[in-house]
Amino acid sequence: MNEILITLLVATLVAILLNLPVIYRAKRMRRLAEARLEIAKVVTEMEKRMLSGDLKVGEVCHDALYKDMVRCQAASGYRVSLSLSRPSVPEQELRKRLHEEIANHDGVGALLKRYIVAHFRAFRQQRPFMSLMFLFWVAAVIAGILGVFSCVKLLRGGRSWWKDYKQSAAEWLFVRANGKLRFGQFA
Amino acid sequence: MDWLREAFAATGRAGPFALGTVWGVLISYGAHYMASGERKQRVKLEVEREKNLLEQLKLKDDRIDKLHELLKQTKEKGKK
Repeated sequence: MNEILITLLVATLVAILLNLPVIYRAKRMRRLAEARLEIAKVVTEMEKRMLSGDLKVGEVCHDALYKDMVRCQAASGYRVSLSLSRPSVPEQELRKRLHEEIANHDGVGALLKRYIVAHFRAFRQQRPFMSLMFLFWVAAVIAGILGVFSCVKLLRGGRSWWKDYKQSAAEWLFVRANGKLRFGQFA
Repeated sequence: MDWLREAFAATGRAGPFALGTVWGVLISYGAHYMASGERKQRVKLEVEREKNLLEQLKLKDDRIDKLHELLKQTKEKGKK
């Protein structure tokens, strides 16, 4: 019976190894299609809002955000920025205005969130290796920040230890100088 | 189950080879069945996306019509 079981096991392993990429690719493509559909749904929602007059010309949601969404909808490739640099002053202004508009318009924040999540999902499914690298990058940045904090904490702890040590040494010398303790005796 | 073991041993190398091949083909068929299910779902999603894009075009047309109407009204007001 052992021969039969071993044969079946080996055949199963070989078949899984050969067919795994096929299934993985099909799943990835399906998830990518899901993300693309979600982006299209968000853009349709934005269109509806613009038709109803909720979003008007001159607003950041209409002029910048919507255009970005349409560009993303038409794109065949997705990217995520790895830049750590501070946004420029005009961009900061734009972000500030966008936050204000999101606070004023009901539901735009949820739409923006859906769009960002869908965009990241599309990126993850289209470029699995790059998304893994992105996650490593995020982990490295978090680890770096935590490392800096722990170093600062260590230094501050060392300073307070040095303060305590100096104080206790002064007390000990004072006691010894007043003759309450003999040499070699500790307080 | 002795008869099975004896029969399997009697086939020599051909037995395990045939069994492994048949089993592997069956599993491959299952895997491709799964993948084709995913592909069908993907096609459905793509169709839904196309519908969304068409709806967007329709909404854009509606917006343009609305703007034309507004323009017309403004012109009429200007004439009066």
